[in-house]
Amino acid sequence: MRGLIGVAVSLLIWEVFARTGIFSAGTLPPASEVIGVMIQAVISGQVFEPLLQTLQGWILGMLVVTVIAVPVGVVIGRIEFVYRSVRPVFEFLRPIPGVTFLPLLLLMFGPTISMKVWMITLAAIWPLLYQTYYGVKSIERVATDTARVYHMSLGARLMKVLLPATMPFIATGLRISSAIALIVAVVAELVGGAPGLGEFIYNAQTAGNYDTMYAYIAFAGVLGVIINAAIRRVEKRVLRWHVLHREGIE
Amino acid sequence: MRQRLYLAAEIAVPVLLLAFWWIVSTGSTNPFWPPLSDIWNAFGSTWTWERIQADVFPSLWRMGAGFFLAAFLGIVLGTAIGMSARLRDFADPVLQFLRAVPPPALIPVALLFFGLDDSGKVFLITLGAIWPVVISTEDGVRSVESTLRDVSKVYRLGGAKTLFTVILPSAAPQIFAGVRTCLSISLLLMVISEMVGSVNGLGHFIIQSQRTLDISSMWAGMFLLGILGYLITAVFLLGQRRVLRWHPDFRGGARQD
Repeated sequence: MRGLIGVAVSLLIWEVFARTGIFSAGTLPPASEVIGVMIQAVISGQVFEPLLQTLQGWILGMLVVTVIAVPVGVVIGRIEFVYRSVRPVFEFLRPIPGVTFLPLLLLMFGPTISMKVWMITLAAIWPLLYQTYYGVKSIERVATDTARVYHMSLGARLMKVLLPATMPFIATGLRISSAIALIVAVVAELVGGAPGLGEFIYNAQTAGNYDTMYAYIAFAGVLGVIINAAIRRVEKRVLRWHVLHREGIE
Repeated sequence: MRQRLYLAAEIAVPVLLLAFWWIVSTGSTNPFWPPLSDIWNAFGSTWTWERIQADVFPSLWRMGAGFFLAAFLGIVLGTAIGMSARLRDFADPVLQFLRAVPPPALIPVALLFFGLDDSGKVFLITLGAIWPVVISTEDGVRSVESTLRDVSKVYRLGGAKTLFTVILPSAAPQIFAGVRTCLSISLLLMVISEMVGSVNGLGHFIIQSQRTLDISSMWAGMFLLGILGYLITAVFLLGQRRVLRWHPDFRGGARQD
């Protein structure tokens, strides 16, 4: 209830600011107009194409990220020699902002979905990779020793020892990586011109359709909220058994 | 023996990779992957002192101003929301939404309000990078142990003293985790905002080199950006280690990423 009041008050402040014309003409259209444009875009179905394009890039990017980051994280977590060999390279690459590669990828792939997926992969891979690594490192010696003593098969060791212990870390990594993936997807669209919400926002701005621009920025926010909520849900389901989650610590 | 082998690998692998790149790219005719030697030369001839002053300093200034504003305001806002359940109830849905908006989507807004000025970029960085700090500060402040709060009350520490000697230090590890994310978003937004609308700066230089197909310069810019990102993060981690040296949780360190 209070949350709703908070939302209403924020929108009202926006409306008043826009109507009094403190800002030069058109730079801030009233909230009611922007919401009108949003409703129209939903009814006419216009919003769904760019929304799905952004979502598609995000999903593909996260798939590639997961397929690479989790196995690599497991390997460097288990085999010290591999970890030490790649450590300097990873430690150098990791803090480089993902957008650094944008100009190169633009040249190589043009404004396409491949460019978007590459950008996401290069930028969003690190949190998941390192969280997986920390997860594997967190496995207690007793657990691996016990598994060995009982002659558990490789499959059983993966499913019963490695995965359960690493899961909470992987979940954290997925949450961080997916937030970065969405940011980078929008960059690829807005700066790189790949199809999606970001491209729409940019075009609306250059065309001077400011209410459309704000409407699509809001849609990008809605997509972010949906993705956050979806990941929370999956995390809760998958980690239901875990102590931290049972006690409800987020 | 084993440690020595590891150390050797740590030195050998990067050297081998660079050597491999150097050899494979020699005489490369692929326009996008010029020979590493060309990039090396371009790096030397591009980043003269004048050039660094003209393009790198403005970038660092924008990033620094936006980052410190975002971190400061984020800690203030996060502490307020973390301390007051009522305020949290009112603000939560709005915050959740604002946080979910991908910051680069706000670039056109910054351009609209501020044009190509530095103020627009600082505004964008602040607005985009503040949320991780707000959220993690709120988390940190809320999860201060109730015993600590009770003890401060019993000793009548008073509001300000409790805040600065009990609550904030106890929340510090989480605050730092948020600030670290804030730092990488600031770096990203600095580059992006310069790519979209700017007359100077590192992002501008890189995208301009790309547009004029001066590929070696583009690579030189990318290398410098990578090195800067590395150094800035290293300085931050060093500072964090100093500030949090006293914290028992922090030595475990696995999840403080």
